Order: sequence, then C-alpha cells, then structure tokens
Amino acid sequence: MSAKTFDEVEVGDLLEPLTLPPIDRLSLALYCGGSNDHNPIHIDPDAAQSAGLDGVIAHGMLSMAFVGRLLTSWVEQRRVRKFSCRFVGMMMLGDVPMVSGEVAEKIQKDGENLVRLTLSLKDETGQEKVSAEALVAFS
Amino acid sequence: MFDKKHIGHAFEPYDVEVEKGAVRLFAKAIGETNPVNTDEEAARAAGHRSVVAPLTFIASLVALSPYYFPIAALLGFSEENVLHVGQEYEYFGEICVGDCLTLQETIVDIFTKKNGTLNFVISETMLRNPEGELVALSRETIMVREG
Repeated sequence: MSAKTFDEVEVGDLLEPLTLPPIDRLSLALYCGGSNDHNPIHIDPDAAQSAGLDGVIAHGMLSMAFVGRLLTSWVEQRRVRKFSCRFVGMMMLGDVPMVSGEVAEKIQKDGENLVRLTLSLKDETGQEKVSAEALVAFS
Repeated sequence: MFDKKHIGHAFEPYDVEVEKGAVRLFAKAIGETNPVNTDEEAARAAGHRSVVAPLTFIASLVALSPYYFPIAALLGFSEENVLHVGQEYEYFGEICVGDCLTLQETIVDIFTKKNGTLNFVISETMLRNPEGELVALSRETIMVREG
C-alpha cells in the first residue's frame, strides 16, 4: 500500500496514476455480464443508435470501477467510508481511461482521522469523463 | 415529467447472495488484481472473512432485483432513454463472498431540469446483513430523456 500514516499524508499528495487499455467490445460485454447491467446501449449498436447515440457507450459504472481500483491501490479497501462519482462524459470504443487522484483535505472528526480524495477519470485527450470523491479513514 | 408522489416509494426488499463466481467475473471485467479481491487465502490472511467484493460490486447486487430496474416499470420509461449520471456509496462494513444480504430500494427524489425535458430520479438502496445491520448504502442518480 502506498498510503502512509495520517500524519504523513499531505494535502496535494498525488496518487500513482492508472492508465487502462482502450475500451473495446469485449470489455463492455464482460462488464455487462459481470455487473448484471444488461442495458443494450452498451453492447448493441442498433440499440445505441435508436437511443440517439453515435455508437455503444461504456457503462459509467465501469469507469467508476476503474477509479475504485486506483483508490484501493492506494489504501486498503476496508478503510474506504464513502465513494462517489459524477458521470460528466461518455466513454466510447477506443477511448483510453486514465485515472488520477489527489489528497484534497485532512479531516479530524468524532475521534476519526479522515482523508478526502478527489479523483478523476479522463480520456487520452484529457477530457474528463468521471469526477469522483472518496473519504478514507486513517487510524 | 414523473409524478412527485413517488418520492418515498419503497420497493419490495429482496435477498441476494454474494457468489464466488460472480465476484470473480466482476473482478475480471474491471481488471482488478488486488489479492484480497481475487484470492481466498490472501483475503483470509489479511483478516477478511473471504474474498472481498470490489467497491463497486454493489452495483451488480442492486441489479439482481427480481423486479429488474423497478423504477423504470413504476415510472413508465424505457431503459434506453436512461443515463446514469451519479453514483455514491457509503460503506459501513465489508461485503465478502458467501454473504447473504437483503436489499431494499427507495425513491428519494424526483426533479426536472431544462423546462421539464430532462427528468432526474434519485434512489437509495440499503444493503443489510442477516442481523439487520446496514452494511452499505448505494445512492444512484439517473437522468431520463423524453422518448
């Protein structure tokens, strides 16, 4: 784990970024099955077109899962108290998910030490697709 | 727009089991390689009951509702017009392979933007263990286009 003790963590600390392989149809099919989200706009180009999209779009939750991977590569999963995402853009086939994160705030509340992180998933052009936050507990 | 009378509507609770194969497939789908999420021995050695479900695995449990996408049925819209615009999880305990949980979803808000052409629905799903303790909470915001 790259996370340190509460005293050692500093606002502005950057998490080691994570770059994923480009989104392809197999990854969307696997996530469709794995997540039980069978909405056809993620795997069926006809359904995507009839919904007014240019093509199938990746599940927002797949992107959130990638952000979650960055989070739990930094800190043990059991210390994550809260994890939230806003889906601000669509990921299409071929887009490269790039996840980054930063320590935004250190909070001491009710005897618990918390660190608030801001996290982001962008494509290879730097356009943000997911804006996320997490609260992590430290002893 | 959707009738605000549905705010507060609680759907029937349903039971799910956190299945080993399901967690394995989910981990594969998201490329998760952290041993506590993939390897039972490693998970136990790290003090977990069993393989730990990844943070967002909750989504696949929520989707196991026997009333598949109950909000769409209640409010009367097509899944293809839905965009998931926000997701929040709060964690109060761990979810591990073998756990049995009871889920219940409630509509907590309905509102519109852009002169009523964009409809938003926020729902919360509580995940409780057999002792009735709240293990996690999932709060989902969807946007429904006119269609």
